[in-house]
Amino acid sequence: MVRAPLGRRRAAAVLAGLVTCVMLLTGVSPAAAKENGQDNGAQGGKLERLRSGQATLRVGTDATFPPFEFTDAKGHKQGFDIELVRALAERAGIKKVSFTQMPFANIVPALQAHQVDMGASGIYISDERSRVIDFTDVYYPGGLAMFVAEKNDSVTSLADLAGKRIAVQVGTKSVEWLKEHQPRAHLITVQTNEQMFSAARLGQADAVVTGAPAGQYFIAQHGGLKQVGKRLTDENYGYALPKSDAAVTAAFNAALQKMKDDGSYTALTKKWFEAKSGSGAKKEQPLLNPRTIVDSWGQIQSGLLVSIAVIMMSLCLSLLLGTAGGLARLSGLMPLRWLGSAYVSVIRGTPFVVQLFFVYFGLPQLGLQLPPMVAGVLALGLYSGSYVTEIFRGAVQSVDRGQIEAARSCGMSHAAAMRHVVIPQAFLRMLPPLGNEFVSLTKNSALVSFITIGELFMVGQTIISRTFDALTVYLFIGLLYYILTNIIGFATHTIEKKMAVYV
Amino acid sequence: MALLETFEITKAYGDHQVLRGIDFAIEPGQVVAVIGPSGGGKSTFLRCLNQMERPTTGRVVFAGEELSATESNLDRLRARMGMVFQQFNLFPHMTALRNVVLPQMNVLGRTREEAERRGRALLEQVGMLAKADSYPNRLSGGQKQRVAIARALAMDPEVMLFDEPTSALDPEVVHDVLDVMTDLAKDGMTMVVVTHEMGFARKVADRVVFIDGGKIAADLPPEEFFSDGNDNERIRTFLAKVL
Repeated sequence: MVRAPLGRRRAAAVLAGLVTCVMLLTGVSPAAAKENGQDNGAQGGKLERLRSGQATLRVGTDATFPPFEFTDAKGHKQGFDIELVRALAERAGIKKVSFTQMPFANIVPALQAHQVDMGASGIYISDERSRVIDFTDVYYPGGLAMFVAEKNDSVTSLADLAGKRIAVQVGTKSVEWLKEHQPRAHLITVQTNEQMFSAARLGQADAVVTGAPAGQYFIAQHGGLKQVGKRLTDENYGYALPKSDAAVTAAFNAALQKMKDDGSYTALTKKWFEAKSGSGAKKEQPLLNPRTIVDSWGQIQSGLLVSIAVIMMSLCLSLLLGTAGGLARLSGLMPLRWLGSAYVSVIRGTPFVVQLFFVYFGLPQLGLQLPPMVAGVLALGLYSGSYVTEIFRGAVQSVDRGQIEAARSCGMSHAAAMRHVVIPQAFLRMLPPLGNEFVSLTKNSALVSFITIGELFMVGQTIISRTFDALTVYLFIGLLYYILTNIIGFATHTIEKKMAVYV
Repeated sequence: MALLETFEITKAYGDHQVLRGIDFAIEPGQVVAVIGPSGGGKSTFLRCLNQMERPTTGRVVFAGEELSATESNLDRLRARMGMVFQQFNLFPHMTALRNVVLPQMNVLGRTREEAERRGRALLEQVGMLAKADSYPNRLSGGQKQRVAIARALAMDPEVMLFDEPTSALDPEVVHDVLDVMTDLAKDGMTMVVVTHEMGFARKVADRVVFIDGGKIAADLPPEEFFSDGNDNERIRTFLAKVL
């Protein structure tokens, strides 16, 4: 970092400034964000702070992987990993534990970025992962197995997978393993565990390769699939921790040994891994199932509220940045104009998801650790602000030159002429495109679910991972977004009509 | 001493030379009509007087001070020079009264009460008090121009610059505006008026300045300028076309 090129340092400074804006908006101080984040300082300091209750053990998990971890209708995380981590933490003397939802593939990067302190998500211990993070001792034996739809008899061995479509979850061990041992399989990579099983059930994939416990649990709960062939690998699950936290890892290992010795570990495995009889053959469901929505209403509500909060805060930031950017682009000062153009060009020229991941997963490497909500609002605000910049500039430039001349001929300064004469007129012209932009922002807000924010879309996914009712849930979630975007459209239209008395 | 004076001002847009060195001066209380063929540089000359256009070379001196390039100096001096535009340039998002009030408050620091009192008095003077609360889109061209004149007068200017104030108006309302301007002239306002209204130039102006080809081709009292004895060939051709 000492020898970082100037450009990168300058970019970091600019970003830091923007981040401060968001933090002010969201009430998070940089100091507080830092405190929650990494502590590479005193050896063992982390474990002591966890034991004293000063710090919370933040556990990253993809709660779409029953029976290891899933989310119940009330929005609570359940499962073997959840209970075992809580029990282990208690025995290790750790006071506070919180679970954070994130896509499986993001857990290891989040550990490296110190966004979370532990990964507990049915993670296989592998050499490759061990290079960047540490694992606890084995807490459950696993191994990959093959699953196919009940009526499918075409797969009985690994060789049969050649030329077949195999559903795998992104970032999981199955992906690497299949590439090596059955390169002729066509991998269909999906985001969640549920999508993987659904793909096989609905015929979008010929087979699923995943951890045996998860597959067996799915069959026990929902039916429709069967396990075929022998287990493909003999592997083990472990909890993942940053390399810097060896003391915490050791504390967990000691606790695990204690639980194995006193029998509480065995009780827990019985509870979660022995299929409940009778629930195996699920009865046929109607296509649309309002119960799915009714049962999860509390969860949906909270997701909706989070979405609205994200949208409102990003919208404010977007307006702020757009106005600043627009003024910069119209400024008489070359460097400001250049900065404005660079902002628009870079942000509009790259995908939003890349920016989002850069802010959340990339910036920690520059020492800038952001809570998910701040990162999400910052990324959305930055992205939308670049469009607002152009809307602002276009609207200001569309105001007749004579307006400025009239104001200046009276002795008004350029700034006063802009403020009292040009911008009020420009604002009215901005409203229709602004409305469009904010509709876009609303739709893009679904993407912040990728960085662990529990907004509407993520809530939808967790409900589906429990109910397997993708049709009903996506339809309903879509409807909610449709209502949100229409409210925004209606609001801008109303303001426009009210303001347009003089046109 | 001249109130407003120019020394050898030129203006070029790229290769196109619009003004080719203009020396001009106006005494307090004088009314100067600037006439001439289109494209001759009349409007550019007028707009150079308050630096709406920056002259390429040459100096403009107003009330003993040079209008320099520094913005604050310029704003201060411009506040003492009123300008009326061909296209009115009223602020469309404000009522007629608010148009007249805003610059007073913003530039002169008058209170709203003071500014409105002065604004209403001026709207009455130009016959527009009844429309004080109307937005410009409800006003005819002639009415807009009278409000624009009131807006300029509200700054208590020492000189008024008119840039073809009646050229965008329907013929039947031209006189409403010219009447207001004639009254102003009678009250002793110093005025520079770029116009095609020969009647106004003849009756109201103290001097007629004829600009052609970027230069002042004649600067005469109206009776001489319009007399049959004027043997300037270009003026005769111009007058033959417009009269």
